[in-house]
Amino acid sequence: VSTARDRHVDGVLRDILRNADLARPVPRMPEWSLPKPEQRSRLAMVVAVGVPLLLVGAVALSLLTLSAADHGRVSPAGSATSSTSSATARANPAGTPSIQVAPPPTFGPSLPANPKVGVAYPFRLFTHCGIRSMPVGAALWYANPQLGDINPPPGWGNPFDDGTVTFTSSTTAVFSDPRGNRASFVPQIPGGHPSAFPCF
Amino acid sequence: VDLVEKASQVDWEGAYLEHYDAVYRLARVVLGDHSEVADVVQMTFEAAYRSRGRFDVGRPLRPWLLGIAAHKAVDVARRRRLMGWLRLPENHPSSEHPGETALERAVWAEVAKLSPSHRAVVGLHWVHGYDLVEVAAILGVPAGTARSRLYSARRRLGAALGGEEQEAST
Repeated sequence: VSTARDRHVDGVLRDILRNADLARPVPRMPEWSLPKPEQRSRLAMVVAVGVPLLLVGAVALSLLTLSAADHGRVSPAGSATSSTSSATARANPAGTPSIQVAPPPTFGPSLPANPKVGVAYPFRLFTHCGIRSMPVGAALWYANPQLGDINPPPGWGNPFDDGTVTFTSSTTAVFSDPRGNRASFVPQIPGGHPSAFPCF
Repeated sequence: VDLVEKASQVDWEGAYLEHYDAVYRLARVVLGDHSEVADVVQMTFEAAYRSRGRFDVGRPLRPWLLGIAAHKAVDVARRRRLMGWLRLPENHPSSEHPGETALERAVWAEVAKLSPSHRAVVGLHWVHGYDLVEVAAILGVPAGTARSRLYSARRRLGAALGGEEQEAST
C-alpha cells in the first residue's frame, strides 16, 4: 500500500527522470533494415529469373563437358582404302575434326567401321535435334548439309528415323528412309557446320 | 510462419523512428551517460528485427522493444562493472546540464548507484510510466521481483530526495 510519502516520492522522481534531457538525434537506419517493397520485388524478380537460368546453364555445361569427354575417348584412328566398288569406305578419315561434337545415341544396328561401298546398311538415325551426325564404327560422320535447326525437318521421324545408310564412296554416305527422306554424310565436319550444343 | 508473415508486415523503419527515443532513454538510465548507450539501442533494434518471428503483431511494439533493450543494457552494464573499467556514478546524464538543480543531481547520482537491474525498473516505471505488473511482464520477471526492486529503488531514491528536500527547506 503506497503511502503519501511514496506518492510524493513517485511524483518527484517521475518529474525529474522523465523530464531529463536524455534525447539524442535519431541516427540513420542501421544496415539490417528490411529492404523496401520495391527492392524486395526486384530481388524476387532477379531470383526468379536468375536461378533457373543458372540451373539450365549448369546442366548444359555439364552435358557439354561429359559429351566432350566421351568424344575424346572414341577419337578415331584413320584408315583409308581404295575407292573401287569392293573397297571399304573410310570410317576414320585423316584430319580429326577440331570441333568436338557429341555422338548421337544409337538404339539400332550400328554401322561397321569399314563399311562396303554400295551396301545398304539398316540404320536408326538420331534426328531429335536436327540431322547432324551419325556414328560409323568409332567415328562420327557429319550431315552435309545439316538438316533441321534444333528439330528434324518436317516429315522425318523424331527422335529417330529408321532407314538405311548406303556408302556411295569412301567419303560419302546417304541415309534414306522409306518415306523418301534423304541426308548426305561426310567423314569430316563440312564448312559452316555448327559446333556442339546440348541436345535434350 | 503466420507470425513471421505478419511481423514482416511491420513497418520497421517507422518503428525505428517512432521508438528510438524511448529505447534510448531506457538504455541511458541503465547505462548512464556512455557511448555504449547508442550501441545498445542499435543492438536492441537489430535483435528485435532478427527475432521478429516471435513478435505477436497483435501486441504493442514498444514494451517488447523496451524489454529487449532492458536486457541488453543490463548485460552491458554488468559486464562493464565486472571489468571495473568505468564507474557509473561519475557519468550520470545530468552531468551535461549545468542548469539542473541540486535535487536533480542527487537523484541521478543515486540512480547511478543502483544495480543495473534496478535501474531498468527505474527506467520503465518512472521514465516510461509502466506500472508494476507491466514492468514485470516487460522484464520477464515475477511480479514479486519487480515489486522488490521498485520498493528498493524508491526507498533509496526517496532517501536522496528527502535529504535534498530538507537541505532546500533550510
